Amino acid sequence: MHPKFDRSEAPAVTLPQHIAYIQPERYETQAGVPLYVMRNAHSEAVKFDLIFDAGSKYDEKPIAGLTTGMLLAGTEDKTLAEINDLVDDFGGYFNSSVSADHVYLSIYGLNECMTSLIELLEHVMHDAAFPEHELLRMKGERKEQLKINLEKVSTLAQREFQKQLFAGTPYGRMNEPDDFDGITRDQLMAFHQQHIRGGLRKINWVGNPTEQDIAYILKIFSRWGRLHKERETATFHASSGDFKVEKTDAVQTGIRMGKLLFNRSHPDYHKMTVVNTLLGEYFGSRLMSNLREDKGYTYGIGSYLGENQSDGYFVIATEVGKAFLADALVQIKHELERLRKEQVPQEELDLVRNYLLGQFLRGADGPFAMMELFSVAELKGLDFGFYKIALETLLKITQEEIQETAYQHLNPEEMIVVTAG
Amino acid sequence: MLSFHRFKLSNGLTVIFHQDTTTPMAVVNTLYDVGARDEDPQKTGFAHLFEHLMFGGSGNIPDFDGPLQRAGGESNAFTSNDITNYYDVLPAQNIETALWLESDRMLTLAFSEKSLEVQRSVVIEEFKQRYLNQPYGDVWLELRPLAYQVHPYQWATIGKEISHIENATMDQVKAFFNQYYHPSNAILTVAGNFEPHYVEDLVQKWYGDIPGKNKPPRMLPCEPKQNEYRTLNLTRKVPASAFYYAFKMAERKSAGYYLADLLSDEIGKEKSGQLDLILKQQARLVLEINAYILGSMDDGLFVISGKLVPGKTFEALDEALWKVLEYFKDTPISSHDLLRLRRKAKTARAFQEQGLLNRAMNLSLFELLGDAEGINQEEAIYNSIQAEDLQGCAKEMFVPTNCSRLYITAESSPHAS
Repeated sequence: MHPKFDRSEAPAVTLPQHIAYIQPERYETQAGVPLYVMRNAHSEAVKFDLIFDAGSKYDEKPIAGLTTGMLLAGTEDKTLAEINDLVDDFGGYFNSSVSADHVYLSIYGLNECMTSLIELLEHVMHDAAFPEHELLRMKGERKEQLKINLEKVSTLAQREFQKQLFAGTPYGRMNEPDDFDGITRDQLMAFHQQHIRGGLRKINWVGNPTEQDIAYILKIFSRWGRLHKERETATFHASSGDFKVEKTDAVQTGIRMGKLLFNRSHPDYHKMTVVNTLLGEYFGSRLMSNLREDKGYTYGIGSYLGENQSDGYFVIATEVGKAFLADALVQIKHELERLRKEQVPQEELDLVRNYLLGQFLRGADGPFAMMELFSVAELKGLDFGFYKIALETLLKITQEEIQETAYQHLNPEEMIVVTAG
Repeated sequence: MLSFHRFKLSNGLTVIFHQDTTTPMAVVNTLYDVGARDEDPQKTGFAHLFEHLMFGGSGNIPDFDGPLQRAGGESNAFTSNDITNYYDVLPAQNIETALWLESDRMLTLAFSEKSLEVQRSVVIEEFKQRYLNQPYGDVWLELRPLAYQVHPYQWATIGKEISHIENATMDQVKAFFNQYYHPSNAILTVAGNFEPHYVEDLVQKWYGDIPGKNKPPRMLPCEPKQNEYRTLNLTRKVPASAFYYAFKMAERKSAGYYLADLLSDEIGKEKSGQLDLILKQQARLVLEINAYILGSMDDGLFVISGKLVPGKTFEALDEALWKVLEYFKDTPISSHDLLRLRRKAKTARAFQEQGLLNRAMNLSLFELLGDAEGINQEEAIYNSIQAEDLQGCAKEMFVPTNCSRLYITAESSPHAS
C-alpha cells in the first residue's frame, strides 16, 4: 500500500539542461549538390527529400506550383497512371510542396526497395514531359481549389495580410483563379529546365543506406545542377494600418495582425521565440487564456514567427464570432501592450521556459525530427550551433529581457490589422 | 512486433505499458469508452463539450494545463462518435506529473460554472468555424441522418444543432461524469523508457484509490438493414458541385471491416485507381474523387465523394461511377494489384509506428476492441485477404439499396440541375 499523500501537491519536476544533436553525414554530387544522410537505426522507414531553389518568387504566375504538381505526371514513355503503378510496386509514397523560396519533394518507402524507388523517380522528374492534357486538367483543378479556399475567411485574411506585408515584391503576389488559364506547357518546361533541373539545393536521406547505395544515388543525381549564385533578395517596406475584406455571409471574422520582423539569422530571434510563446504559441498563452479560456470568443488563437529566405514576420491569427470582433481586437492589443509595459511574472516565465524545454526535447526526438532541425537551419546557412544558442538563451532569459524584446518588436501601432468577414 | 505489458487495478482500470528505450519522451494516453453515439438524441454534442470541460480543473488541481506545461509537457484530446481520447506527451522523467493530473480528473472534476459557460461559447465558435463557415462544412450534418435512421451515428460529434450545446446544464455535466468517467470505463496506456514495475507502482499510487464502479452498459438502437436507395439534393453557395455516395459497411470487429478498408484503398488509389483513371483522367467529369471508410465501431460507412468539373452533370457522373463499381463487382483485382496494396500498407505501418503517441493510441484502441495484442495481428489479416474476398465485399456493398447519396449543387453554377 502507498502511504497517504496529498493530491493537491504537484510531483517534483526536472527539465533537461542539455540536448544531444546528431550531425548527418555529408556527401556531395559532382555538381556540388550536398547529400545529407541521417541513420534510422530502429526502423525500416525511409524518407528522401529533394529541396530546390525554385519557389513561387521566381515567377509571376502560378508556374512554380503547376511545375511541381506535374513533376511526376508523365514522361515521353510513361503516363501518370503508369508512374503511380511503378511507385506502388515499391510500396512508395511521395508528396510535394511549394513555398515562396523553395520546392520540396519527399519520397517515402522502406529500406529494402528505396534505391530502386529513388532511381525511378529521379528519371521521371528529370524527364518530366508536362503532357498538355494533364496540364489542362491540373489548371482546372487548381483553379477550382483556389475558388473554394477563397470562400474561407481564414484564407481571405491571410492573403490580404501577405499582400500588405510584402507589397511590391514577389512574396506579396497572390494567385487569382484566372491566372491559371493562360499558363502554357512551354512556361513549365522553361521553369523545369532552369529551376528544377538546374536548382537542386540539397538532398536529405533518413534511412539506412549502404555506402554502395549512397555512391549510386550520388551518381544518378550528378546530372542535376545547383545554383551557386546567391539569389537576389527582396526588400520589404510594409506600412501599418487597418484593412478589411468583405464577406457578407460569413458567421465568423478572420483576423490577421502583425508586422515585418526578422528570421532566425537575427540575434534577437531566440528571445523573440520565448516572447512569442508567452503571447500566443501554446495552449496556456496569454491570447488563448484571454480570448478563448476567459471570454469564449474563438475556438483558437495563436501567434507565429514566420520566415522566408531573407526576412521574417510576426502574425497573430484567429477566427472569432462576428459579434466579438470589436472586443477581440481590443483584447489582442491589450495583451501586446501588457507584454510591453509590465514585467512578466517569474512564475509564468518559468512555466514557459519549462514548456519550451520539453518542446525542444520533443523536436529533437528521433532521426526524422533531427534531420528536420538540421535541414531548416542549414537552409539559412546555420548549423546545430543555432539550437544550442536557442537552448542557452531559453535557460537564462530574464523578465527584463522579455519586456525589452516585446517593447522593441511588438508595438501594435506598427502593425497591419486585417479583418475578413 | 509491438511489445506491451498489461495489468488491471482492483477498481477495474485496465493499464497497458509499452516500453521504448530509444526516446527521452513519454506518453500517457487515456481512452474513455464513451462517444457521441452514447448521447441523448435531445442533447447531442455533449461528449465533445464534456471533453472541453475536462481541461477546466479537477477536484484537487485548479488548472490542468499549467502543471503539465511546467513539466515540459503538452496535452490534447479528441472525441469521435465512438470514443473520447486524452493524451499527454512530456519528458519521461516527469511522467508522474501526467499520472497525477490524469488520475485526479478521473477521480473528480472541478465542475466550475465559469468553465461550462466559456466552453459552451468556445464549442459554438468551433461549430461555426468548422461546420458553418466553410464551404461543404455542413455535409456531415446532412449525410449522417440520411444514412442512419435510428442509430446515434445519425449525428456528428459536434452535435445536431447549436441549441443542444447552448442548453447544456451543470447537472447534465455531473451525471455524464458519474456515468462514464471512472476506472472500469477507461484504458490507460503509458509509453516510454521505463521498467514495468516502476510503471505499475506509479499507476497503483495515483489510480489505486479511485473508487470502482460497474462499466455502464451500452444498449444502442440497432440500425436496420437498409433496403432503399436514399437521396438528398441540396443547393449551397459553394464554388463546385459535390457528390457523396455512402454505402453501409461492416462493423469494426468483423472480417468485413478489413475487406472494405482494403477495397477503399484499391478503388480510391490516387492517380492510378479506377475512379481516378476513368472519372477524372479519361472522362474529365470530376475535379477530385476519393474513396474511404469512416472506421466506426458499429456498422460504418464506405464513402465515395468528390467534386464535379464545372459544366458536367450529376447524371453523367452517376452513370460513370456505377460502371466502375459494377466493374469491381464483376472482376477480381489482379494478384499484382493485391501485392501493391500489401506493399503500400507495409510502408504506411512502418511510418505509423515511428511515433510513440501513435503506438500508445493504437494499443488503447485495440484493447478496447478486445485485446491490445490485435495490433500485432492486423498485418496477417490484411495479407490473408484474397482478390475474391474483395470482389465478394464489392458485390454485397455496392448496390443502390445499400447507398445514401447526397448531391450539393453549386448555387452559382449555370448547369445546376
